[in-house]
Amino acid sequence: MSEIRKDLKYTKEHEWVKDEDGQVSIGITDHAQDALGEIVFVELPKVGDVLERSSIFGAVESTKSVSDLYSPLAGTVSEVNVLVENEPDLVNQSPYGEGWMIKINLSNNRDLDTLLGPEEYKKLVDGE
Amino acid sequence: MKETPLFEIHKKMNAKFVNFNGWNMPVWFKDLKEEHLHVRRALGVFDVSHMGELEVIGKNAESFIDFTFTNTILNLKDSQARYGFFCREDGGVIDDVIIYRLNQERFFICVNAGNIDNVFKWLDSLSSDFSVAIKNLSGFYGQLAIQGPKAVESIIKLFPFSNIDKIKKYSIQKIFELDKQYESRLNNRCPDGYNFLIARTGYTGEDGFELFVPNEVLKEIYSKILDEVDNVQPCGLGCRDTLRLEKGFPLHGNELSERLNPIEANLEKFIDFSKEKFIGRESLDRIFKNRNFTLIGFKMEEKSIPRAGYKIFSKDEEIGHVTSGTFSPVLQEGIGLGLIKNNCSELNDIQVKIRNDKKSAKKVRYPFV
Repeated sequence: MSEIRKDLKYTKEHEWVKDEDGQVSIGITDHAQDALGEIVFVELPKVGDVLERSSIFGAVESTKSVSDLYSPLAGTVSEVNVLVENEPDLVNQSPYGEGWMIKINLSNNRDLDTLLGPEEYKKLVDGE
Repeated sequence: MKETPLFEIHKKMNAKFVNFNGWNMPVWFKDLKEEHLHVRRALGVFDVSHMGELEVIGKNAESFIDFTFTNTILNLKDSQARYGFFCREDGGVIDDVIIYRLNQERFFICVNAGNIDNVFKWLDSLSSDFSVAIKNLSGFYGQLAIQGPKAVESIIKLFPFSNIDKIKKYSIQKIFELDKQYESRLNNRCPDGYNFLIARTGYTGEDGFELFVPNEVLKEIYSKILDEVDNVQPCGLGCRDTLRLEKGFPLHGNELSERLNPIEANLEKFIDFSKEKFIGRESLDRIFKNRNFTLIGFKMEEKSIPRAGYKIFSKDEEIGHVTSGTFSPVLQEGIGLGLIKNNCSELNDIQVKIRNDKKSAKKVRYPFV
């Protein structure tokens, strides 16, 4: 069983969002990394890039396949985890920790309310 | 979705599954890269029961195959095999197949899972002038591929009475022990006792075998291999694809298709133009003299992974597209095959468009490893 953390919000595209007072961290879920297999390449945006909601901000690739990363929220990229670009398998080892991808400053804090809670996300994963 | 008889065993081994041509097949068990490297260094076993098996039987079997197949078969001896194509009149590839001569009046054909019905119907439609019967044995046979440098020594131990080390590359024979063991137990059997076959062929570029055995006993044989063969790794279709791509082998649907011909995929050595007549000959001859495309191998110069469908550029001109691409588990870099315009085949400065960026690539000869 893949891990779903209680303190995070989620998207249908299997990303997680952690709110830290208007700055949010974003990564992919344990379920997503497990489905992808060993991740060999991560492509991320630059600090300062402005992301629209649902726009593609990067990609994660395993040997077998590529998955686009969709921005769950609108905002400006404030930090990028360069560590995962150099060691992509951190995403497999620690999807909610060292394998985080980007931080953004939200354009609108209320957007957070539209994301899935842990229970809703669990239902989504179980239904797959 | 269709399942092979090994589905439950795969599930118990925690395989990840993928829909491949309507079949629910293992894509990997624990880790694609590990499985890939294990096949290169030692031994892997693949369930490839989705693949199809056809037979052409009858007095005219040999002349019928000669007429429908691009490659030479008239010089094959019993048990020898040959790779080649079934092409349409326009040169498009209906399927790429290995044909095994069991005897002069009986040829065994291994076809791709997605093309079984097409090939069967096509052969059947052409057979009326010949004294032959086309049989689809895909439901009868399951198929296992045992691939890797340790294949011979391991399979000798498994089947000590079948002279495994004497099976030459690209030949096929019966597995005598299994014939005997299951003699009285099979509910369905193949005429003339070709129930259990072993061929020294494969799709990984390593030494190895493909076993054709009845679906009704496939579970027992697969379990026997996992239990009795030292250090054998169950492998999924994921590494089957990366293994074949590192060796530059074509995949029907990518490098070949009904819209793509074998000449432009640089596979003309499997077409015998010395034959006066075979289906597709005129078109293939015309393409051979004046081709529009050519297949190239390339490696990415910056860290990135090419994928099928990505466009290939030189300067600002689009010159072709990627047919297959991956991150090579052996080389640890992005590799790919691509079809480009033939008049661009001398260009060295090429880029692959990956998402929004053009990334530099270097043309290289394949096989890549």
